[in-house]
Amino acid sequence: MLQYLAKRLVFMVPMIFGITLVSFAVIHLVPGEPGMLEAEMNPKVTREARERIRAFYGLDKPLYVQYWTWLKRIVRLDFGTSFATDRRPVIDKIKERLPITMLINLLSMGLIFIFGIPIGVYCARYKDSIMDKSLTSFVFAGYAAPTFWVALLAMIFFGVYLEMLPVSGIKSYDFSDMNIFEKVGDVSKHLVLPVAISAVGSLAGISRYMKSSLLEVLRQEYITTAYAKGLPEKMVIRRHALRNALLPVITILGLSVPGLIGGSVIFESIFSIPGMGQLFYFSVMARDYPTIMGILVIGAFLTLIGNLIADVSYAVADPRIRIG
Amino acid sequence: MQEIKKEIMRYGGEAVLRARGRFLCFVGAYLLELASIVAILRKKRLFLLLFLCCLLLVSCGRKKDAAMYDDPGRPAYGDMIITGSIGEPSNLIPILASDSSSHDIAGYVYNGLVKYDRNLNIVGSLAEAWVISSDNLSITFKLRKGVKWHDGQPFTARDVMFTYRVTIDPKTPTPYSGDFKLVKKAEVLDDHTFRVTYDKPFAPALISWSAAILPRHLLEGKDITTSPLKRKPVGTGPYIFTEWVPGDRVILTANPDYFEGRPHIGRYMMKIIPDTATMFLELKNNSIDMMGLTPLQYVKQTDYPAFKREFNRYKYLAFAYTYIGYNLKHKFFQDRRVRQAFACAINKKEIIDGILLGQGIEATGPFKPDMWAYNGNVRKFEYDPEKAIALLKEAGFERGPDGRMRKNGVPFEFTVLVNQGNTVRIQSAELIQRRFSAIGVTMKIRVLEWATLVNDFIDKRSFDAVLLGWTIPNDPDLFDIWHSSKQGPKELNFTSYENKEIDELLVKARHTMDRAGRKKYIDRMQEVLAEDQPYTFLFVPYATVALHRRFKGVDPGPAGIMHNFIDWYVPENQMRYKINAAVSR
Repeated sequence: MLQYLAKRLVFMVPMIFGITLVSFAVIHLVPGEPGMLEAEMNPKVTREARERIRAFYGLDKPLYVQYWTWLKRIVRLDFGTSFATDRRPVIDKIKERLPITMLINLLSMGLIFIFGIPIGVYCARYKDSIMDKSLTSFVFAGYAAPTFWVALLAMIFFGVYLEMLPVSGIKSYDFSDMNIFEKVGDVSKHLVLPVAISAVGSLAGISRYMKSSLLEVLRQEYITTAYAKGLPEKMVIRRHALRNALLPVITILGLSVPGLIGGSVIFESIFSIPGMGQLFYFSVMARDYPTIMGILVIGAFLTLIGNLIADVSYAVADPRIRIG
Repeated sequence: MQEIKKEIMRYGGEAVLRARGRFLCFVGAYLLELASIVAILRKKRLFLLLFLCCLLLVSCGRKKDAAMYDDPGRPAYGDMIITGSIGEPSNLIPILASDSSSHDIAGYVYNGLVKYDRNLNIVGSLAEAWVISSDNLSITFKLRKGVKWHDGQPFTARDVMFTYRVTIDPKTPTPYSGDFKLVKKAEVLDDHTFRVTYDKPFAPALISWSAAILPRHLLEGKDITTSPLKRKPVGTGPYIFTEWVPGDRVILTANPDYFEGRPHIGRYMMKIIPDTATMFLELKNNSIDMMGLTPLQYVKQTDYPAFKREFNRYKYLAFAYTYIGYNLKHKFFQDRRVRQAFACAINKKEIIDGILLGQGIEATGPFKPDMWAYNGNVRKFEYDPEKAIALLKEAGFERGPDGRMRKNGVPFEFTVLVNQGNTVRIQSAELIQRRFSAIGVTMKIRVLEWATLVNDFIDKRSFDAVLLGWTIPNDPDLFDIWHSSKQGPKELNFTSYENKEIDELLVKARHTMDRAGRKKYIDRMQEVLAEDQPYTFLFVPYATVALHRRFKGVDPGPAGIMHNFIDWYVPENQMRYKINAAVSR
């Protein structure tokens, strides 16, 4: 087991290196350069000023030199300084946006599991019943409807029309004057729509996963045996079927680790949540290479780690894999 | 700070009650919904009826008592204005920033030596007067006395000198050094007198000193790119920087010692809302007070009584025009008659009515009618497809049996490039495409991402035509766009326009300080451009803005509505946020 772990960890190094190389090449292939996009076609910006800015960012050097400088910094865990005109350290920009994205993603992941698994179980148990069909259509409708559209409708209904929930943002204007309970209340009020809507979109995946895996388990002979022993249905499903059917869910959990810091551009823009998705989007639009690379490297690292954790915990949870 | 909440309660209490009523409606609807689910489960068909009932219940209307906003009241100090911005500022030292949100904020915090007034005349700001030497080569600025930086230090001519030096310093990564580079000599004569001398008379010289003056005492001898001022600016302007919550908002507070008088509105907040649909909802929800509207929002989505009770809508000509620019190296476009034919083939009115929903006027040249430089007396090409065909035939084109124009057997076919995301431009291109096909010319439309369009097509001159827009500068110096010497890489005469007369006029206009003399050259220039049609000038759109009705004293003019922002006020009884009480200064 330890040997396996070590092997996996060693293999991760060239993998990350490869990922950085490919991403670096790709983002430099995109036309446009940092700091200049808004100044493009601006009569007040002279050619000489452009050259000066390119030299300032080191963009006048050949690409491999730029990559090498970047790589030398990154192995020391120094993500560098942003190319956006604010010139702040990339790590500060990420740190400031990470908590809110993680909070929303954790909450919505919690919701997805709390609702998705029971829905899946219910649909498998009462397969083809009306409730199964209506639940299935509901989750698929949630999956199929574009998030931004659902979000806008919900904002109009709950925000503008009923005035029950705030339309966007994460805090009210008078947030700093509130006591701790009001603060918690205020933030949760702001989080209701974003969390609920992002959860509705992903309910379909997990509940379908759950349903099909449970259906498969229910067809196994040991379930027939359990029924034959005279165990009540609740017991059969909870103790014998569900345990085995939950195994694939571990994989999904592992794979959702990188998603935790990813955040969604559309979503965060619509609700004006200053999260990672927005940061990534704006960095790409501004060709802010160090920030893009920073986010990509962290994302790649977390994906690999998530995979590893999934594989390892799978082995821990399922003796068939560990022993067989 | 507790006071604020009380105030909000006082003004918002009514809203809370209303919301509570609506909440009850909502609970009722929810119960009905549950009942309908039960009905479905019991396979009864009743649920449809019940569903309809809940819809009815939920739509209990809301009424707002907005009548009090009719009262113009008396000027008072206080309240806050909240504006929406789709982008977050990047750097609040204006010479380092290239995005509009940074410049918006910086515009309230800093001053230049001069500025534009309502009618786009140049008036003093930090300079109370200036003298232009008789040889038109130097300007001596008399600076205001007693002006203080927001941190209390006095403002002097040495700050102006520092700003000039740091802008032309090769180590400063600023895009805006161009105009200051033409200065031959800058001198501080005494604490409140500053003189600049140029090699040649330079007409835009005076207005180039509207650039924000930076505080020397905080920046000198330090690396400007790492200065804390980029996130915490210190200026001389009407508003003092207070707070920046990253990704969320920037707050400014009125400067009580501002040299033109204390601004009435106590605070200015820029709320960052990246999505325009969300911003519009926040406006309807009264969470923001001011927002630029699209033609659709202006004409259709805000034109109902409930909205007009809460908001005033303003419109003025925007400082921009949209055009089709032709690559004049293209063998067909070299012929002036072809370009004139195109001007006749395009129905500008149809574009304005159909796409801008009437919110624009036809453009005849590179300026807009409310500017002093504008010359309306130029050749105009009315929509006339017959004439367009005649002009093309004159230029040697023949209409083939399939209806397409050909010259020496080559069909007239070209591609126009448009940037992605700008629906007005894309839709205009579609209308024009149809008009061109009526005269036998095939125009293909290619939509490209902005950076690709500029770097791979415009910079490499590999395009037939583009449909783009220019910002109209306040100062009518068009040297960079039309002079034949400006065709190098990354330079802006990308259509390769060459006209000796225009070149000469541009240079003369640029070096004539006296406005009447300068206008003569600029007028002639517009006549030549209209005759030559290197671009087809399409339209100047209106800028349309919604502003909450509690703000009084707004005076729309050629410069827009923000020019007298410090005079805007909210009468005491209509104030919404009494946050001025919380200002510690």
